[in-house]
Amino acid sequence: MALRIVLIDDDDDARELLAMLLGADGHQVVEERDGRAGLERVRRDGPDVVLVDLQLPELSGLEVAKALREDGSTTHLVALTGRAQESDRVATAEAGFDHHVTKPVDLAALRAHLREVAS
Amino acid sequence: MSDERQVTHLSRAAAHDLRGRLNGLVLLGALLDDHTDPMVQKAVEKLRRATTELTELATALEAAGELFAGGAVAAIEGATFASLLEERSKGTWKVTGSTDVRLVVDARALADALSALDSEPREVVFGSEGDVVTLRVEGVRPRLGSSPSLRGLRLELAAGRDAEVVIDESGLTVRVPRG
Repeated sequence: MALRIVLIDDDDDARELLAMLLGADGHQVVEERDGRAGLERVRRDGPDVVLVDLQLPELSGLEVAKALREDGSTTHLVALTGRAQESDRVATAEAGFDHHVTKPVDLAALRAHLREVAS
Repeated sequence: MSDERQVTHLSRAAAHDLRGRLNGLVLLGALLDDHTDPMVQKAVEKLRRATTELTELATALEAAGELFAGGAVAAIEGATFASLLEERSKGTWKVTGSTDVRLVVDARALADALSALDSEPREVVFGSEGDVVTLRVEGVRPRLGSSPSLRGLRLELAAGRDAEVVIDESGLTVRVPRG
């Protein structure tokens, strides 16, 4: 099943490549490059999944997740981050993320996770 | 900020940046993976190998950060460590020697570092010398063109400050304090 995905990452190369790959899988992917624009986009579009880098201009990924949960949003939130410590996983879970993916992204694992979300 | 906290902070920051830059390269490899041209496939294979090794470097930097973050390293029973090693390696290790020892080591980090080794057969021999526990792995083929290699570095960091890692022609020995 195709998912509606908002992908928020300020690394243009990585974001564009991931959007292309997920788009080729049949998902509808919308890209944003900063936290504030990403938050507004998610509030407006109500996607199935939001993939969020943590270190973003304007608003951090953690702030985006907290704001969405405060809104009452149940959108599936996935943190995409170079932070791999256990404490980072705790921080993303506490902020309201459903899943934590450490960069570099294991695409097969991410695809499997998205299949789970879709089902 | 103390020197040690500075090391932790810088190591984590460097690992974070490295992982971020690697992300684009890994995704580029994934995008090219469907191309059947043999030259493209060769390039993808080399790209994948490089990104795997650089990801190991990021892990080593994180381990360095943890090492200098302070906190006591717990002792673990030899048998428990052997189980952990098999679990982390998905059961591919043969364990010999007496595991009736306690070793002071970041067990998970060392198990992961040993699991990443390119060795055959995958056998670890437990031993002890006075206050030291030895873990011997024959047939390790580390890339030792430069010292320390990424894997050697990762092992050094995983084993801890009080550990010693020796890689000679026949294999690897890790010496860690006895608990």
